[in-house]
Amino acid sequence: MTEITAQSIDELLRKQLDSLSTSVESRETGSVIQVGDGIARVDGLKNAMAGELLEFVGKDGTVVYGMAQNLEEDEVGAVLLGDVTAIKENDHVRTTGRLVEVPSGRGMLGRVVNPLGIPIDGKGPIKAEGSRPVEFKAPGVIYRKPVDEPMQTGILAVDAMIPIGRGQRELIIGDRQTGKTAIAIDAIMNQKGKDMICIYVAVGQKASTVAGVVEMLENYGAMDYTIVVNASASDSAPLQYIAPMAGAAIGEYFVYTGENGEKAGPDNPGRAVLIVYDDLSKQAVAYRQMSLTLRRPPGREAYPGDIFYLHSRLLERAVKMSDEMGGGSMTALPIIETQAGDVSAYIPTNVISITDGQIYLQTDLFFQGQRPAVDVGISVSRVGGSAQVKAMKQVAGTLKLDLAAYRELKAFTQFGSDLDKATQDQLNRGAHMTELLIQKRYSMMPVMDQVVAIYSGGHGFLDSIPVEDVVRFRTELIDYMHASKPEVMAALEKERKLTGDIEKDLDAAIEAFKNQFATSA
Amino acid sequence: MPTKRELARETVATYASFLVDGANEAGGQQCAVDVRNQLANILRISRSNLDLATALTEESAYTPEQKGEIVRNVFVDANPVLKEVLAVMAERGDYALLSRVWASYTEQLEKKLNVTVVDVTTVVPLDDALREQIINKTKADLGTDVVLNEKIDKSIIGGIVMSANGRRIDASVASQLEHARNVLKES
Repeated sequence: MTEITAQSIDELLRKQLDSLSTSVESRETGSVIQVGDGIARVDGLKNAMAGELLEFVGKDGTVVYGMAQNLEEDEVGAVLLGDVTAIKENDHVRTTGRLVEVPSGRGMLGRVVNPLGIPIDGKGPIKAEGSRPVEFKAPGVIYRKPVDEPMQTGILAVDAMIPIGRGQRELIIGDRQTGKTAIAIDAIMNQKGKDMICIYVAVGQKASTVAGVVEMLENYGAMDYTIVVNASASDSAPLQYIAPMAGAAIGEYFVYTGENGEKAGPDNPGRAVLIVYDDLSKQAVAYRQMSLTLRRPPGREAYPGDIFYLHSRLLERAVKMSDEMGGGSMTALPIIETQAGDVSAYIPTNVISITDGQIYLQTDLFFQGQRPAVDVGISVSRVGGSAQVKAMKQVAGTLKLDLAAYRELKAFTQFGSDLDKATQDQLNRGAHMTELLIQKRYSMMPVMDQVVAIYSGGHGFLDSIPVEDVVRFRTELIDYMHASKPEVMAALEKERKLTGDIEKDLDAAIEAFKNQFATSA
Repeated sequence: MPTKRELARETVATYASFLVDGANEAGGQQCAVDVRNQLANILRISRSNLDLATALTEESAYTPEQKGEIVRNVFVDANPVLKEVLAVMAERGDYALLSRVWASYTEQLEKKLNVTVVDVTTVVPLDDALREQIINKTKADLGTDVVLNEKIDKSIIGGIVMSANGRRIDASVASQLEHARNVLKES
């Protein structure tokens, strides 16, 4: 054990102080005209840049950082990113010549940080590998390639009908208490062992809710590859505003650099990142507050005119890089909370139009027991189809249309009339398929298990099973396949598509299982 | 037709120009520098005293005559030219332009008198040799005549802080110690 002596302490301090530069530099300074609501108006600073990091020096020497926002003729409007109460009128403000940055790197995995990258989980300081600017222009078309790899959520309804690809932006939208966060958390948990780095950005949520999410991720071992960025409801509006961008910046570090810390390239692949913005409605509210206090003119619903640009430039940072650029990806799952199912409000329509599809969650479905309460009729994925596993494409190809036809038919038959056999069969199949999509929280399914489950439904094996037994049938079938027919699962896993032989084996295996399955009725 | 912004710019320039000329005629360069410092102090007081700022800038708070009277009474020790200009600004409802007038005054002072005011803060008064050295150095850097505006501030512990034209060179012991503290904290 190393002995602690006065000499060793002295040596250590000297070593640390070696990095102290005593050079004096000329800095542009201004003074605070007015401060309040997390906003400061500053005069001087004629050469300040938009988004530049400013240092506010309080009377007792406390330094609070801020970000230049409004560059006006004779003053600068800035947002404060720290202890607002430490700054008073006439305090000095210095420019730094740097844009607001956050640290990033593998050292942040498993940690909970604030939007400035400072740890808030009491686990000590973070050793960062590098840093990235919070505001960053998304890469252009020549640096990208189309989405071609799947990003499985482990949720049957999503992976089968609304497939998401790496680099896609898929919106999760719905009223409060419909399971929006649950889908995102399941998606994070499903990335275990898939070489994906996950970032969960919590904006304007209760600290207790975030603590619950972190605990759940820890229990499932998902924090090992996850970073949580938290700007809770008690944090200032500017912090809530930059939180999603800070999360994106932390993620971009992994996309644009390889494992060795060097720039990603053909020989140094970038990493795959999944980022969840929970939720952008609250970020929009924080930005509205900030903009109004900065005296920017209000527009529709009092949001500032550039609220669309705020969200579009954030979501445009989701990317699938070309092979020359390392092939890294950042998949974004933004969440939007609607009020009473109103998707035609300002922020929901904006984000719907920006993203590559949406998973729409319905309160009615949730209370009918259809969980996850995904409304497959109006949920879409615009680009994920091309990244879907071939086997899944084969079994789920017509599922969405079949379910749509079922819902239409069901609505029609509510008027009550005698039905012909074909219609009755269609209704029966639809009811079974809908039941098949019910899935508990934290019970993600591997994609080939999903293929088997949907295959069994699509090929009529469930038709004679009572609807209330469908979920049990599915679970036991999967267990049976892994325990008694591992060779079929192995062949499916190897081929990743349904060949004639595999289909024959599957039919036989499912039939055999069905014969031994005991229904509850 | 000039826009509201252009009109405000003209108004600010007129107040500042009148102040520079008035102060220069009354007491030359030194008086103009004194007025600059007084104006900076008044600006600081106005910013930190909400009641005063409200009384002088809100339209409905007091009549124009009362506003003028308030300025004359509150800033009783100020240079007479400055006091009158401020009173006129308050009476005309232009008191909110004060920070812009200060910026314009500093600009015009430098242009009209070809002089740059350098604020120098130290812990002990400057001796003649050091003063000479600072003047020569800043003259060479700025390319204009230089007037030192000396201040004593014990809180900087030692060293020197200089600022001119909105730029600041902080070579104080206090800031070096703060820097060292940050280095130790981060490593």
